Amino acid sequence: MITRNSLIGRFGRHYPAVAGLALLAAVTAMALLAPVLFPQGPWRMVGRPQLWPGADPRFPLGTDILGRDLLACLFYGARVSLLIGISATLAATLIGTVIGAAAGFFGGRVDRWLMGFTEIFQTTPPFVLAVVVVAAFTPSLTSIIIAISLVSWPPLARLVRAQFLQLMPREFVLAGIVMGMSNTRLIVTQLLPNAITPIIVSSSLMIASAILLEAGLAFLGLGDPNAMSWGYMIGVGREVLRTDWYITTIPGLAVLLAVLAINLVGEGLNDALNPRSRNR
Amino acid sequence: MTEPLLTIRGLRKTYPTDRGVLTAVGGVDLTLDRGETYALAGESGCGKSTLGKIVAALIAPDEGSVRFDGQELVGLSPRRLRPIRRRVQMIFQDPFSSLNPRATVRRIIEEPLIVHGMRGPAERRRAVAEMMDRVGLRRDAADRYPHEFSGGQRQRIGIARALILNPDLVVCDEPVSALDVSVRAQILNLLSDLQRELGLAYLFISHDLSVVQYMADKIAIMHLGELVETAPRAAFWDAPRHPYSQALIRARPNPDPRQRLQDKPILEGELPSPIGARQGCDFRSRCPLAFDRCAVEAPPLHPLGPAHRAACHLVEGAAAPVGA
Amino acid sequence: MNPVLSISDLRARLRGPDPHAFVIDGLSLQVGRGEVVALVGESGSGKTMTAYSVLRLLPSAIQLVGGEILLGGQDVVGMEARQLREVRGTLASIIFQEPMTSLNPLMTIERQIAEMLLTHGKTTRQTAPARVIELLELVRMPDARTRARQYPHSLSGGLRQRAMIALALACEPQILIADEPTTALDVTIQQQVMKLLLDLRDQLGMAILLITHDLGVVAEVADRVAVMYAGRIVEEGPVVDLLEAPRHPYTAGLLACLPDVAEAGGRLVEIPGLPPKPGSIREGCRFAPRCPSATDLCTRVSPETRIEAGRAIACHHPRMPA
Repeated sequence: MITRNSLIGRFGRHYPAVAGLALLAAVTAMALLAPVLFPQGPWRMVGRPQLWPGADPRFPLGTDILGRDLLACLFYGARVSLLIGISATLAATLIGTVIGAAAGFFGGRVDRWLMGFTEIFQTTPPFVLAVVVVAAFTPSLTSIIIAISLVSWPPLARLVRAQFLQLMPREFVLAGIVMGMSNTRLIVTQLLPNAITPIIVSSSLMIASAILLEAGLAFLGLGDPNAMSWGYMIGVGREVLRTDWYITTIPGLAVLLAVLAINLVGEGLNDALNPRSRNR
Repeated sequence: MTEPLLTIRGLRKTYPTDRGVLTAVGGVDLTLDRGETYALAGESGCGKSTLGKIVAALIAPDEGSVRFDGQELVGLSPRRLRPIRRRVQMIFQDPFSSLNPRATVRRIIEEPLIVHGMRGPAERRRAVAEMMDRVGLRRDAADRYPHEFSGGQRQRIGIARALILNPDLVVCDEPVSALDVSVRAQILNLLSDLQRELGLAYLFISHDLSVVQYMADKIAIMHLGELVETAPRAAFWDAPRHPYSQALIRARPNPDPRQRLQDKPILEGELPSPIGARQGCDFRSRCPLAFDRCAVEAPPLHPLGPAHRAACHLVEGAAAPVGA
Repeated sequence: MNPVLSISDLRARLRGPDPHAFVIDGLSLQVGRGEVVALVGESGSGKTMTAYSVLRLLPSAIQLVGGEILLGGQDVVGMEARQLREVRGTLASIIFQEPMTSLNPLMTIERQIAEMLLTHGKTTRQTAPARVIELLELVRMPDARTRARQYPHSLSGGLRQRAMIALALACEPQILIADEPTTALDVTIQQQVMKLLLDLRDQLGMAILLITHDLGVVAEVADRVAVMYAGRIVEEGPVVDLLEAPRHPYTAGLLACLPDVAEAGGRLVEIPGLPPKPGSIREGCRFAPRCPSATDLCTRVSPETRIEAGRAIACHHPRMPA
C-alpha cells in the first residue's frame, strides 16, 4: 500500500491513540506471558485469603477470598477478555456486514425484511438479551461469544447499510454495472473497499464493548466457570466489597484501562483512515 | 439498408412520489446509426439523463422498447445482458465520483476486461497501456490513485475505462460540464478523435448547446420528458422549428460582446411541474407563440424533413416536399 | 469619482509551510458606481477568493498577507469584527452559486429577509413584512406574498436565487458581489436572473462584481472584464475591446477553445496542460508553460502590468491590437 507509511504517520501523530496502543500492547503481553510467568495457573490457592496488596511480597496485588494470586488471575483474565472481545467482534462484524450489505445493495423488500429483523434485536436491551442467551445454554466461552456477537451486530449492520446506500448511486458503481459486473463482484470490489474504514473503526470499538459485556455476564455469575476472566474476578470480590474492596477494584481497573485503550486506538484509527483528513 | 444501431420506441419511465406520479420520460422514439453522434439536449429535469441510463440498461423503463443492433434490451435477464454490456458503455459527468477511489488507474481501466474474462494478465497490461496512450494519459500514471489527478485527467481515465471493451455505442452523460473551459476543449477533441478512429456511436447528453453544436450529427431537444424537436445539425441551427429550440439557441451565452442580454428577448415563466397529469402542450406557459389550441391538445412530432421532426401545432403540415 | 470598491496589491496565501503558495498575488481592481465588472477565470484562479476577501469571508486555510481593500472609502483589511458586520450587507453583499446553501433551510423567506433588515436597523417589527414583500416584488418573485411564507426547499433553483438576491439587496448595498450566480441554473433561468441583476443595477445604481468562468455571460452583461490566471489579473479592459481583440495569450486561448468559434466538425483550439498549483511556479510568468508565445524571458521574469489605452495587461509579448 502506498499510503501505508503516511497512515502510520498520521496515527502516530495522534498521541492518545499511541498511548492506547501501548496499553493494548501491555494487555496483549499479559495474555501471552500468563502461562510463562504463572505456570501453575490462576486457580491454585497459593496463599492466605484476602491478603492486601503489598502485604506479602510474593503476591504484589494480594490474594482473593480463596487465596488465589490476584496478579496471576489478572494475567489469565487478559487472555479470556481478549479472546472473547476479539472473537465476538469478528463474528458480529461478519454478521453485521453481510446483513447490512445485502440490505443496502438489494434494497426494496430485502432491505425492509432485513432491517425489520435487525430492529427486533435492537429493541431488546443488549445486556438482557445476552443474559437470556447465555442462560438458555450452559455458560461456556462459546455460548458467551455467541451471545455477545448476537447482540452486537445490529449497529454495524445499520452502518454498513448506510454506507452502501450512500455508495450505490455513485457513478463508479454505475460504471461497474455498465461494464457487466456480477452483484458479488460489485459488492466485493467496488462497494466494500469503500465502506471498510467505518467498519474497521466501529469494530475496533466493539471489542471494548464485548469485553464490558463479558465482565457484566461474569459478574452476574453467567461467566464460563472454567475461565478466569476479569468479570469473574469482580464477581468473586462482590461479597467482600466493603472490607476488601481491592479484590473488585483491581480487575475493575484492568477492564477500565483495556476499554479505554481500545477506544483511544479506535479514535486514532478513525482519524488516520478518514479520507477527509487524508486528501485535503 | 442495414438496421440502425439503436432504435428506441415509445419509451416511458415514471417514478411514484409523495405528490403524484413523476413522468421522467414520456414516450420517446429515437434512432441512432452506427458511428453517429446523437445529442440529447434540454434543461435539468427534462429526462435526458434518465433516457441515457435506460439505454445503458441501468434503469428499466416502464414501457417501450430499446433495440440495440437488432436485439431487444428491455426485459433481458442480467445474464443475457452481459454480452451486450460489452458493446454499450457509458462516460459519466462527475470526474470525482465516477472512479473507484480505492483502485489504481490500471485496475480501473483493466476491470472491464477482467469482468468479461478477456485476455491474460500480460495482454491486459498491454491493452491498458495502449488505451492510456490513446486517451493521452502518461503510462506512469497507471499505479496512482484517482485522487491524485485533476478533473480533466480523471475524465480521461473514465473514457479509457469505457473504451477498453471496444464498444459500439457510448452513452456520454454530460461528460464535460464539470470541467474548466480550457480542459473541456481537450476532452471534446479527444472524444471526436476517438470516435473517428474507433467508429464509435455516441448518445451525447448535454445541457450546453455550444458543446452539442460541436459534437452532434443529430440533435434531439427534450422538454419535460418528451422530444420537442429532432433534427440533423445543420437543419437545427439554420432553421429550428420549435419555439423552445429557438429560445434555447437564443439563450445560449455567446462570447460576442455586441449581443447584450438587455437587447435579447428572453423566456419568462417557470417550467411546469413534471408531477401529475398534464394537458396540452407542456411548453405553452413559457411559449411566446402559444394560442388556445395549445392548452387543449398536445402536439405530436410532425415530420418536417429528413430526420427533422418538431412537436408544435405551428409546424403542422409544413413538411418539406419529398425530394426537397 | 471615487470607485465603490478599490483593491490594490492584494495578496493572500495558503496557510502552511510554503510561503510562496499565493492564491491571490498582487491583485488590483476597481469597480465604479453602477458598473458591472466581471472577474473571469477557471477554477483555482483565485477569483472566488478575491470575492470572499472583499467581505473578509476567506476560509481559515487562506490568509490575507498584504494589500488594501477600500469599500466605499473604508479599509476592510484592518477592520474590527463589529465594523465588518455593519459593512456586510449595507456596503457590500454577496450572492453565491448555490442559494440552497446560503439560505437557512429552517426559516421562511420572509423571516430571513426580515432578520437581515432588523439586524441593520433598516426597519421595525411593524413595517418589516411590508418591506419584505416590497423586496420580493423588486426581484420579481412571482406570487410574492405566498412565496414569502415558504421555506427555501419548496422553491425552484431560479426562485431561490431571486430570494437570495432580495436578501442581498435588503440593506441597499452599493456593490453586489455575485459569485457564479447562474452556474447552477438552466440557460433560460440563467437569463432571467442575469437580466434581473442588470435591471436592479439600473434601478438602484449599485455596482456588480460578477465572478464567473463563462465568457458567454460576460459578453452579455459586463461593462468591464478582468481575466484572472493563477492569482493574478492578466488582462483587463472594456468588454468589447477585450473580447473582440484579446491581447493576452491566455484570454485569446480561452476564447479560441470555446466550441462556438470552431468550424463545424473542425478541431477546437486547446490550451495544453493544466493551471499551476499555488506556489508551484516561483519565477517568471505563471502562464508561460502553457503559452504558445512564451520565450526565455517569460520563464525568468514575471511581467509587470502595463496600462495602454484603457487596457491593463501583464504580458511580455502581448498580441498586437487589431
